[in-house]
Amino acid sequence: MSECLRYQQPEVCEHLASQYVAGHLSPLVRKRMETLLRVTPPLRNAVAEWSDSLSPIHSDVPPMRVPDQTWESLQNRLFQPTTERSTAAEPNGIVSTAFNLWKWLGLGSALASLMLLVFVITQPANTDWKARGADYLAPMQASISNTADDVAFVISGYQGKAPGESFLTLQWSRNAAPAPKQELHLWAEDRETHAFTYLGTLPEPGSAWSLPKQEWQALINSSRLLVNTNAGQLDPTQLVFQGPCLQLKEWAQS
Amino acid sequence: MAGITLKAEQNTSAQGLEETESPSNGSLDDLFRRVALSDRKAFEALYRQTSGRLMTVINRILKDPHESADVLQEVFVKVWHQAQTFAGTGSAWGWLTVMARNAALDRLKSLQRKPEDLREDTDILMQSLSANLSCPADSRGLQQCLSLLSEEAREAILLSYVHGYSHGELSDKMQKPLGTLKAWIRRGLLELKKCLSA
Repeated sequence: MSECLRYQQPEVCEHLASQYVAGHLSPLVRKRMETLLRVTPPLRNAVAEWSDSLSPIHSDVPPMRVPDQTWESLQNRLFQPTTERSTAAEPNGIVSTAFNLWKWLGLGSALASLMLLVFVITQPANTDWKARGADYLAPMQASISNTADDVAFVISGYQGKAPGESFLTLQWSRNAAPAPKQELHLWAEDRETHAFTYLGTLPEPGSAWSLPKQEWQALINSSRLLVNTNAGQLDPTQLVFQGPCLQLKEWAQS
Repeated sequence: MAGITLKAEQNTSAQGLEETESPSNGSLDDLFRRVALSDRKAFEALYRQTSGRLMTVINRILKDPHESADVLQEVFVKVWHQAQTFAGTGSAWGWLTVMARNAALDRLKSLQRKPEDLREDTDILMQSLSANLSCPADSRGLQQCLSLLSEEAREAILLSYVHGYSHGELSDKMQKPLGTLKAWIRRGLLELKKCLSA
């Protein structure tokens, strides 16, 4: 039975939902579950039913005082333009800046290590392009993930010598949960205009697919790649995966 | 000892807190649906009405108000971005508690901390369910169904649901083999579901 059908089964949904809501899934399985929730309505219904059953435990808890700055920070994060946000005063200026620096350094090094690992793993044997390596990488994370350690798969780009010869490969991380069986669609977001360009259906892990010139151009001009379940349109709030675009080499003129 | 936990939570409750009432699920559901349509006023109202209680839910797992406030912020960022996915399926409060608990569990994991061994008395926790009922039907039904479970299953389910214990941590705390504990929980959840559906 396909994975997609398996998650339509009431017994499977019921068991997973109860374990998820009661908090008995490992962090990795929980992440996987959250990805499935976005694309599997029966599973979502089962979780809703379980959470409604157990949530009265929390209905009458005495409310704690929430610091005023939590709401202020939330507003800054969600509703202020980036430039205003960056100049907004932080209560613990230097400490906060230092903390952020270390946090980003940590995230950056983790991402770099992972990219290097994936780069080595993703080189298929007996190909001409193996020797030269990828020109482009996009480590893709579940859209609800918070850390750089949660890369689910990597898209690598190889520029061809002539238009239409450029192609992408997709490699699923061995540390990630199995790839969803639903049809997923890949989009590129332009780094300047933020317009979305549809690149096509995501292929099976391990396979390669060529990109027409126009789509390749959209790819190399993009700041991030996005994956959703709708080929017709992209709603940025309904993403399944997303990841930054990393150019590894100079683009050849073609 | 859960009584101590609950008392501590009471003491940290704010005098001038903007969230005091337990709003009806209907009004929360309406706010959640409007947040799904990117209504900022509804988002602020949802925050005002639920943030204090969600902070308690998170803090029961993290036992650290500063971390809890930070996680609360992450939860509401997710609410703003993901309400569209969940609005209309189940209740808003159900989703909010799921999101808050999972965010707290993620933070607990990233901090490489284990839940504090509070030796919670689940009987007191059970009593707290029946006290101050704002939605009596749901809470009483749940309390009755929980009371029908074996003591071990009830304790394991409540400790994991309320305080974030993993299977392994419960096995250590209750000094029972992991397989036995998993069987208790699985059977307990099935019985709970059957009872709640009756």
